[in-house]
Amino acid sequence: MNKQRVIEGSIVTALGLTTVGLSRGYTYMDRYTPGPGLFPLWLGVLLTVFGAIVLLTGLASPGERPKAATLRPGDLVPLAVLALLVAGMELLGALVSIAVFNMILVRLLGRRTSWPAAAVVGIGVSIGCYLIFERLLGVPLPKGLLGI
Amino acid sequence: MDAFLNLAHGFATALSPQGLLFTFVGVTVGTLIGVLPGLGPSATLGLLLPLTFGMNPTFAIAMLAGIYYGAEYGGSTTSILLNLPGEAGSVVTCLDGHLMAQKGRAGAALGMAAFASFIAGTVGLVLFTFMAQPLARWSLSFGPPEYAMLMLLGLTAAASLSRDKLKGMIMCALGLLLRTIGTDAVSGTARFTFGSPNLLGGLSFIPVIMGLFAIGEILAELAQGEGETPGAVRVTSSYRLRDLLPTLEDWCHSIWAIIRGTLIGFFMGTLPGSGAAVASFLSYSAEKAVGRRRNQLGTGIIEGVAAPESANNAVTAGAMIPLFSFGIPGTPTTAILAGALMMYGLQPGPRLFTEHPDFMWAVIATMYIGNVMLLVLNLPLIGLWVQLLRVPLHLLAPIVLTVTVIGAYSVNNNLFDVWVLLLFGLIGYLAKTYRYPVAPLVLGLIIGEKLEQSVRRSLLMSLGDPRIFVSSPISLTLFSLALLAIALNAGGAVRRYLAARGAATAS
Repeated sequence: MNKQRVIEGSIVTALGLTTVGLSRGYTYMDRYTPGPGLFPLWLGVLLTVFGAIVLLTGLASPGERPKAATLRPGDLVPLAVLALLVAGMELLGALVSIAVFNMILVRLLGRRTSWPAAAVVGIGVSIGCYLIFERLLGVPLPKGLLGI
Repeated sequence: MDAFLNLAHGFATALSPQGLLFTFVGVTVGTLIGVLPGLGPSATLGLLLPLTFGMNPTFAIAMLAGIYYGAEYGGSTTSILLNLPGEAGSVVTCLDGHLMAQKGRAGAALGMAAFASFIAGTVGLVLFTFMAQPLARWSLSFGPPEYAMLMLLGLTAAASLSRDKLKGMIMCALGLLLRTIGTDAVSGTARFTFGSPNLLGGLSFIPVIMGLFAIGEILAELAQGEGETPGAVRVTSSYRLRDLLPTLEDWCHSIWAIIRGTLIGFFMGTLPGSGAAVASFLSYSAEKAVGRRRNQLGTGIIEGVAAPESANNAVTAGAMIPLFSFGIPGTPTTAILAGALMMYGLQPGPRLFTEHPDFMWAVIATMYIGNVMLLVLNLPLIGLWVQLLRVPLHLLAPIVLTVTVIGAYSVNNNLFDVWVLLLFGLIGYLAKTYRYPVAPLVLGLIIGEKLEQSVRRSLLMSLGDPRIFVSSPISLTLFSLALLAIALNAGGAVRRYLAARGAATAS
């Protein structure tokens, strides 16, 4: 049995069945007029079929792939830091958050980089974003409680 | 003969100092917009439209059109260097272009993207100049059933690009499903919004694309090794332009890909709503079907850049046909161009050629000049762009992530889109880890609305009878091609599965 394929197939099948279930809450056909439920219902059916194929081939498979994929939670640290940037944008404003985010990530990823050097990079990126996006292209970036 | 004389007269206007200046401004801004993810040509045209009020209409339209096709040039740069598509039409370029960059051939990829775009854009303009009317009549034969089958063919083509076809089809279906989130345009029903007002408008596909491609790729590269240059790219130490350009061998491999891509892109552009994304996917798939090195597509070969880049630029020329022949804008960007024309008191449609020939032919001439400018502008920049790859990952990754966040925010000035970006960044990383292709999901997301509308309109026309999808020669042909693609995909998948079982049993 290929455990990874069984898990993948189960997830896709579950997603398909959920979609079918939710789609039944929308009108399928109103006399001859296709309703909002038609398209997602058939997509749910397709996903269920595809997921079932993956699941069954996984069950029938002789074993795991030689190089099965592995997920390392530590690889998601940059994404977590990015989430903090986004959460901070409304409070601190885009420019401050960008500076802080870049400083933290540069320091985390480049271990030989000092905190002052990382801070310089962070401030530089923040200024660059302001000049290019807000001044040149007219994109209004979120202003936080500090108003910057 | 009349067309030649009119075009010559148009060049006289286009080559004036003002004509050259505004064309240059348009293509430069367009290139920058194409490079920067998030800001598309339609949003930029919308921003700049009020500024053109009071300008000479010829030069205003020349500038706006320059932004449109310039963006398609620029979109390939980040696709190749960073696996971050700047535009929807550059998604496919990531597949081989980024791999070429990782093999140290970023310059050749960027150069071929520029040349392919130039050739396709120029040939597309020639076709537009001399074939607008017969092609316009051809595009009229496409109704909802034909559009539905065309979209289906595009999706099956996208699924077939994946090594595991079943995973490709799953991702296509998922992309189509994601597109159903939001308010149904026909009935007004809110689908899969779970009470969230932010989802009533559906998912913006820019944050989804950037999350899947850029963030997913960066997370994967960071996971491979911290502090290294991106994806272990070998950057040539040579600064000579000729070392950064495609070789003669590259040209020999690419010429037919460019020809096919140009024709596919141009004809797709004449169909309102089809878009650069579908054209680039179909062009890439055609290369996979008939190209001499089709088995190597997806491993970083030059044809994988030439085919989609020529298609997405030829689309811009083709898209002018429904606009100027019928007054029907086929894309959001041409819709804004149509708005600009009306702002100047010019009604888009067939009478534009007869009532305002000086204007029309001058605009066409500026587009020829704009294509040359783009090539001249982009080629010297290749060396500069390639140097970007020398930047250590621990510096480049935070900057790219920052740009994607701002790009996602700029779509609707809403932080919700940024959270969508992060969610799809996580999905993109998981997809890369577990080897699920993201390109089919993106195509499903882009064309899902058009496909659903076409299916529902067709069924409405036929009073629910599905045989309408094979009732015309065009729709039957397209359906047959899609079915053939599905059968080939399924057959290949079964063969691989049986081979794997046989190998496992033997061992």
